[in-house]
Amino acid sequence: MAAPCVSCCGALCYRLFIGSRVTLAPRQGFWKTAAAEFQRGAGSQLLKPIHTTVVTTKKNVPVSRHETYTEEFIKKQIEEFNIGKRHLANMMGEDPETFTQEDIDHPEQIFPKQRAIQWGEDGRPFHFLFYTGKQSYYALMHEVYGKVLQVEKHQNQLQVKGVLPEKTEIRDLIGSRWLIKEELEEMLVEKLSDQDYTQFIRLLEKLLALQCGPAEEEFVQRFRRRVPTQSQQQLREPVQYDERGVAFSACEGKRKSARAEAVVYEQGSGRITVNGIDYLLYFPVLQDREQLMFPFHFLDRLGKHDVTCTVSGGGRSSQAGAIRLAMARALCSFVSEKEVEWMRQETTKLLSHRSLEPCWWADQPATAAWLWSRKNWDPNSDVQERADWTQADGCGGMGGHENVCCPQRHGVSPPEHRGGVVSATAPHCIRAHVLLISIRLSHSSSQRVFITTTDCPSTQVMGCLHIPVETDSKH
Amino acid sequence: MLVLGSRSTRTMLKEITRLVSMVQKAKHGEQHEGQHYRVPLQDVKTVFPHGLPPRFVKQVKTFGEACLMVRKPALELLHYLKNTNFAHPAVRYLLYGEKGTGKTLSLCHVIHFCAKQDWLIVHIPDAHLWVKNCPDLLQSTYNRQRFDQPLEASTWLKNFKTTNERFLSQIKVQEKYLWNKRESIEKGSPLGEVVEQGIARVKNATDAVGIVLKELRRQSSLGLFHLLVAVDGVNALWGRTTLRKEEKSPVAPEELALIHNLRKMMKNDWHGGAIVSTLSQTGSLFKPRNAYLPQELLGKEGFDALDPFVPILVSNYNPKEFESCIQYYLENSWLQHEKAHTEAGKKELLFLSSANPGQLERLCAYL
Repeated sequence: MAAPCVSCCGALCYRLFIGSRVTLAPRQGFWKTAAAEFQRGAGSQLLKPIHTTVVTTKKNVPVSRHETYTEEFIKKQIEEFNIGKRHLANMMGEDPETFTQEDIDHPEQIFPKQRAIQWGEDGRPFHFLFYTGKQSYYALMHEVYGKVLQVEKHQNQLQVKGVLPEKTEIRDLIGSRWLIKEELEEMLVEKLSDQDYTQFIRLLEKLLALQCGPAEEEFVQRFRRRVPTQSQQQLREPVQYDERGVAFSACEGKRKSARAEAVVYEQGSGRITVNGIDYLLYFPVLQDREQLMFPFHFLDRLGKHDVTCTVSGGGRSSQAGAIRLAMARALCSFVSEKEVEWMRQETTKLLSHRSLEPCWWADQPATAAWLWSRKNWDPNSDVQERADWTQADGCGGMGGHENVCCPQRHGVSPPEHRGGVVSATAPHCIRAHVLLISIRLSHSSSQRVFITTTDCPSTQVMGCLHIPVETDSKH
Repeated sequence: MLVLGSRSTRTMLKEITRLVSMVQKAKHGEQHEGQHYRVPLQDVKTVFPHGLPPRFVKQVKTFGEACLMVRKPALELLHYLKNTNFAHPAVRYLLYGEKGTGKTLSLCHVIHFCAKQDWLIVHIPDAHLWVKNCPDLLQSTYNRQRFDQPLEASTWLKNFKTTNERFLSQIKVQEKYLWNKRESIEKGSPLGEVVEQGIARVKNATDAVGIVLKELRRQSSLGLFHLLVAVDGVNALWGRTTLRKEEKSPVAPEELALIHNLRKMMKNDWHGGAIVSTLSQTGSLFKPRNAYLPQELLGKEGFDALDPFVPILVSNYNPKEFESCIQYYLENSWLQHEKAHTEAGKKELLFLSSANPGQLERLCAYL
């Protein structure tokens, strides 16, 4: 079956090239909707083995209705998948044996969970909430509300008996978060609205607020996801001992383009040597020394350590930052775990390297755009430039205006055109005739010329040219 | 430990923690190291009309009193000076150290001591001022190749007069000097006249300075008085200048009459006194910021000229001195920050200033 093989390959290629997990939406005519095996783990447990409807647009593939996916069919698909995988490995030049599944998803994961038909042969729906439209959702809400009522009833009973419910500890909700709407939709295989989602979460929070037992807790935990903790374990540099038996620890740090390495000795009097020079001489600016002070000050170990560091690259401030980072890391090895955690949480970037985010949203970072202003324009400066009458600026199409009199490019009109009509053409703009309507003789060395276009419905003054005039007597 | 309570307790505490003034001055010993002593304001006016660093002058004005800390380099110098043999040629002492460690103030301490011991003080507050920023250079009348600096010379003469008023009438000039065709100084007239002439006629001020220095040198050898030559920033004498002649060529230091005379003073061919000087990078020209050793700052020429000398290193505060300085500021309510009197605050200050007196003073100015 070449066609499925090719299509299988095609699917794989498609997936590889886009490089991300894509739920293959029901591509018309390509794959039939999923089999019962793929319905495992779908939200609703009441689905029965399916009878699928198939929508095919491909004329070559015969339309088969009520076809189920048999075991052999699935097996064949998996075999073909493996063959395709090997083909792909060959194509990519990798070893077929060790071709990982990370790039390619197994067929089980490709096909999305889809609803099977919800009613039986007699047309009667299986689920009692089918006619609500969102049966899984409402079933879930019903379940949770039932649990809430149960817990309240239990608490009332305890209160009546006089046995106060024990105060349980606040559960650690910090490391987890509620399901987001998309995840809930995926779980229930149903579209939800925002209000539905918020209602659901509120109900779950209400359940949590009442002190529920462990069974309910477990139920609720199904709807929580772990948040990846930001505090990774700080790598602690082991303490080394030099030849005299003094403990020290060496670490590197960087900031911008400065690289520093600091050696912090355990016993000392607070002397810091940078590149062989005392830090007071190396960093005459107070701000840099404050940066160096910060790690020690934070841990209250100001006069207790000696430091020798080497630093290169960057500027004054980034060198100070690099040394600070290196010292902070080196100090971790002399300090208890708890303090390291505290250091990490209290300060924003003592122990980690942060760098500037490159400007991806614009061609170049914000710079002052050049702005023309008459104040800064020197009329004598560009006398020699000739106006390029046959060329236009790239702003064609701006309402038919021609940029002949673009202020940046004041030019000289050839003297013989004075008093006449100068026509200019532009490849992009509407051809316009530039009419010199007035020439004012002035005593200044340049003349003002007003230009309008005749093609435009409104005769607007587009600008003015300064034309230097040779004061000839004959004119 | 310190209770900044009422004014009376404050003044009491001042007396306790500090060693008071001039009567016990001669008895400054090692046990007084780290403590402050107060210089009476009257003395400040006479002895230091121009000698104190500008920041210190501001501090004196703010606090209403001049307090110097007794430190080891100064004590060492005082010890040497007390044991000088005036029959031997003048010994040269050189205070050197990093920027801001207190060389100038140590020099001032020594000057005050000598003034109290009735020495004649020749104090050049900053030799760098004589080699830069002089708009007026006159060609010297005495020697065509040299240049005069009338303004600087006359200012110095005025201050010299303030310091050594009582000597000026005692010392007699031993030679006749001709100012110009009409004016001259006769032999046997008091030195005060030379000084007056220099102040009155600014054109002759440089020559007056030259005369004064020559006479003092000559006569201290006779044993009439003890002479202390104190020069701050002595590396200016052998460095470069930023002055230019009219044709824009640079002026060498020896072409300046003031510098030339001062160099002669620094030679140890006279006796009956001592020469104390400091190196200073702060005002120096064309020297890197990190330089502080005599070899670096004086250059070969200067080093050879000053050789042999007794170098005295002035370093940053040791913990005791640092503590004392902080206490002094606290007593005068100079440190207003609430953490300034805590241990943590002091440690911060120590770190940030690295126990450098100059840096500490600048830091505390913000608090």
